[in-house]
Amino acid sequence: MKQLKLLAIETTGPFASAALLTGRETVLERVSDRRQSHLSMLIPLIDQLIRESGLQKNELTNIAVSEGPGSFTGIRIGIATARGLAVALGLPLTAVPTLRSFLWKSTDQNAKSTDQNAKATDQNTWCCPLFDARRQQVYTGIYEVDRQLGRTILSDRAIAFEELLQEIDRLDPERKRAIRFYGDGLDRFSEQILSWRADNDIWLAPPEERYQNAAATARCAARLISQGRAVAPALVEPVYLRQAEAERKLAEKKTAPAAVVLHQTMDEDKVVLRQATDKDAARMAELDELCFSRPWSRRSFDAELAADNQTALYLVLEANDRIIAYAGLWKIIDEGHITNVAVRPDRRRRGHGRQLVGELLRIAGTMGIESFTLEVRSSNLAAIKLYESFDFVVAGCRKEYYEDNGEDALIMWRREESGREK
Amino acid sequence: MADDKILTMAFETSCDETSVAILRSGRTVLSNIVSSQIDVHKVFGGVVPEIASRHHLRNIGPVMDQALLEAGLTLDQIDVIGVTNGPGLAGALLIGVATAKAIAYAKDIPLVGVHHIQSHISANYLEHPELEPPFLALVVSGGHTHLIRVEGYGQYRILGRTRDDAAGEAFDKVARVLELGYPGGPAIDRAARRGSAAAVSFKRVLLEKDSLDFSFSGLKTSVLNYVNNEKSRGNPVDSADVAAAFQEAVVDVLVEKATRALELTGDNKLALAGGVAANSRLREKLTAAAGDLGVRLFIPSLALCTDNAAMVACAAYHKYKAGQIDDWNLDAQADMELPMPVYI
Repeated sequence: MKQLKLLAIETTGPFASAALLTGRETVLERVSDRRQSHLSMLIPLIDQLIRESGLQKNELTNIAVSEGPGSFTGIRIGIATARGLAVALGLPLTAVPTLRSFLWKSTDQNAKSTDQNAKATDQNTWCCPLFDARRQQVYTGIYEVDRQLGRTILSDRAIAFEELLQEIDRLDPERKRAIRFYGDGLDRFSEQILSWRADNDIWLAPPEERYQNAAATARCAARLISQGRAVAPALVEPVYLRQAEAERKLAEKKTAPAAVVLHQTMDEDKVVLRQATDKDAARMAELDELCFSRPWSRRSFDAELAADNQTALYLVLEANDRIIAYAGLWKIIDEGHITNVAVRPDRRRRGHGRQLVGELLRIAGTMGIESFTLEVRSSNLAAIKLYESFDFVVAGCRKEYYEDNGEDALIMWRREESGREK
Repeated sequence: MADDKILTMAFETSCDETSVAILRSGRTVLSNIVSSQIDVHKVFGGVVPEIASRHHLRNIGPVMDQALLEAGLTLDQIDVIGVTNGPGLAGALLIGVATAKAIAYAKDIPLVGVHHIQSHISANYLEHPELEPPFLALVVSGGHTHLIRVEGYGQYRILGRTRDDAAGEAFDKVARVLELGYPGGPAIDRAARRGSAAAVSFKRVLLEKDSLDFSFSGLKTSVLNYVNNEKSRGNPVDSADVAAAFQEAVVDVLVEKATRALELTGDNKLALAGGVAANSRLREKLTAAAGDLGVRLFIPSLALCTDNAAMVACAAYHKYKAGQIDDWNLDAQADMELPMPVYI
């Protein structure tokens, strides 16, 4: 059989790397020293590696790529690059499970069991990489260190960090296993692991051994290839382990009840803040009459609060079954246009407006709304001050906008840098 | 020119279309495969970057295979590889860039990164082989509203640009409020045909007297306020009328600024480019204005107006001919300036 000449790519973690494995053991590796610059660094790293090895590109026999989980963007850079190389060079591609590849972190098979802190035999040792998946979650899995592909103890998943510790206690109630932890999750959760279990059987990878790297990807790939797992490039798919944020929110929205009690304040008369429903239309119209010289009609509220209105979002504050304040906005793709904020005259100056606006911005933020705008009467200094405290700034003025008294409207905006998903 | 036999393959993944195309001699389209994600994003009411990125990765391989198949070529025959590397959605751009880099590197093919606006302008070269610089270009899309003087291949002078929303963005958002659906451009165009632009009057924002910049954020807000106020009075809102009035306001501003720019530069050629170039009212009014001015108007066919890789390949070809080849560290840039920007 032709000697294996394998190029492996790892871009799922903080540092991109590439490795070249020739024959049984020899692994050359290049790791980027720049965080999150995978796209620009990857081909230059590969080029360096190929030049140093003295190989020609067309002498390669296999390409391997770390498939995820990890940074969504990183996974895609790795897979797109690996597929492109494999297609252009006419080579098969091997997808390496990123978490499992930590079993191949050390070059020497024996090293896995001779670590000073680990227990004597392989069978007693588990490998548990964890990646910070944000939202207090980790991407993780647990494998037995067994000189094979690693028997799965806990299959790959995204779970709350606390839940991972509970799972380990459930799987190993007598705490007989030695556990080796890896991954960028340690940057965040090391202390919590040590406060959960600090015995000698717990080993946390130091920073220099902590992150996924292409040499491990290459060694794992060599094992997978020996089992026939080298396929056409198009068959290799990313493993995200998690839906896109927008898909998750859409699914939540579909299952969410129409009205949700968001939270209760410990006021003397129990104020409840909740999302408005169509049943509130009449009472909100009454409140509008009390508050504004040009109130909205009952019919407008019916339309705003209709169950199928996907654009409007209204919150109400209720005390003793009476609506004392409401605030609402229109969701226009990624912009929120605040329509009205109303507080009963006898309930003003108690922070209700602030509470409503704060919640409105927060909830709209979770729905992907990134910037907000509103208009306010130029004489309404209390409201202007309130909005400024939420980082709204005056962006313009509409002269004599209000028909009742010819007052100017100030246009205010609150813009945010769009956050990128990991 | 264009008597060489250079074969250029290009990748385009800057927003929600995955496209690969192959050109011969920079102007003959051998294949131009576009896989649109419109249906995927419809349910969200706009393009979701993470979902767009996932679909690009899924689609780009099959789209490339199809482009080679239709052109009857293999990768070994490709002379130049072009790719949109900005501006656009970062996560989406990098799928095209990573793929293009890997293939170019593996096959030792020169790699050329292309600015998205440069591509839109180049669509006109494909549609109108007789068009040559200098000319004035009005680029209007979901992400851009630019008036650009094209002084040579790859030589641009930006005369005006939007200070806030792009025109296409305003179309999407107004369509959303009028519940006309996504994407907003075609939806408004359709609805406007049933409505009367005179039913409502929205202010045309022309900014300072000598400015060629655009601003569409105020217009968008005016439409929203109008709808809001009518509702609050319990009046029914005729979405067709509002769509027509809004569209008329946008088109008037675009035509007015393009006219001013033509008067300023003295050009007798005007090229329209970008997705909003598909708007029927804009085509109509710009054609009339160009006629009045004695200016020849160039408009790409619909397929070349929206995002596609043929226009990228055309731009890449010209950059290649000018010796502008990129290194292997080519990166995707979500915000990217046009090459050689000079402001007047």
